[in-house]
Amino acid sequence: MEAQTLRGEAIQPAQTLVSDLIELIKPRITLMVLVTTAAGFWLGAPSIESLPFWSTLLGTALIAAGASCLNQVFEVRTDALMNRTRQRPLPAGRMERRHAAAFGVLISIAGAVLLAAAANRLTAELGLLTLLLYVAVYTPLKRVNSLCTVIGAVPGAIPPMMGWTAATNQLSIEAWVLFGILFLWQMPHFLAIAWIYREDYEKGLQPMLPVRDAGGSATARQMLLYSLALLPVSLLPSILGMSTPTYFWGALILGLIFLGSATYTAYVRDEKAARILLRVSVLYLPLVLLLLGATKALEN
Amino acid sequence: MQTKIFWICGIVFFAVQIQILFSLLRQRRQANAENTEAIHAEIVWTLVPAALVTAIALMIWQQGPFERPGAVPAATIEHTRSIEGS
Repeated sequence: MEAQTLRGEAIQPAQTLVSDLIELIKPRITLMVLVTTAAGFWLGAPSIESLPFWSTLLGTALIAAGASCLNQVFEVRTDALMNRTRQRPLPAGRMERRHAAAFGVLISIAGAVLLAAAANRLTAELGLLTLLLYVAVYTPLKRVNSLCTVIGAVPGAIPPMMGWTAATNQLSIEAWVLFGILFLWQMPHFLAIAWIYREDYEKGLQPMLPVRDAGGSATARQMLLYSLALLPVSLLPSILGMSTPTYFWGALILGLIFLGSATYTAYVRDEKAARILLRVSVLYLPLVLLLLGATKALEN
Repeated sequence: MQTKIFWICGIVFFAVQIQILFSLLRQRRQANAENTEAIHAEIVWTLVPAALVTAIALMIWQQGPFERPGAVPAATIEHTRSIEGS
């Protein structure tokens, strides 16, 4: 039960400019982006030099934060329709759109400049491509077609490539393998989220796959398919010699757990199973990346 | 052993992918105007992972034998051995 003031208004938790800015940059997503970028850098660099490493992380964080902020600038109306997002600073009216837009543009530019100066031009270009795909392609498509999730997975999969290119200045096969793992992982992950919040997405007029899939059969098929595709791609680092046999067996076990969870969700098609899949997916990715990094460190 | 498991995983994926694709194509033939768009979108959903896996496979095939960053290229090792042997 909410506390009431004398005039009967509900007391809201203290919202300051700082807490609003933090909400604008979606810190949990930005943190996940940083974990994948750090893994890409760690795998690419023969040794970690602290200045390029931390500059790459900061530059990537600024671009990811800018993309999240600009996404919210363009989605004020739909965010206002959904329970999950209506208390964000822009739909709740605590901040003006132009201020948020200026903040988003500024930090994105700062991120790209930092990446170009401290890492290399290729990484800065990948950062700007991520921003462009997220804000100018994925965001408007969210209101049009369920394929927005597939498009949105592209900018979501570029950060580990950025880590790799920052360390090597090359867009080689290893970078594409990291891209493949991230891209395929996102689908069961986001389908689980979209399944849990499908009524909310419907209110927000966002035609995610589970929204227009009453029986859940399309969502079930795609969860299963992408988890199945992830398994061989996640084994590639070991097959290609990027990592050790220890990684192979670890990634195989983790991939089978992920696949098992996706298969169970596809079979029972309920919210409880989708929540389990979401938790498994959130654990799977850092564990696979940690395994990749750890096996490399042990080998060295 | 590892390569075998890898290939089995790849083959299972492509087998399921083809099965889903054929089932969607069958559904499309019987579809009414309302769900045609949804089936078309799902056909693209289904083709994307296969396209990605194929693209990565082609890149690996094009690159030839894999060299780890910082590793001594296989050709150099062969060359050193031939010098040592002579």
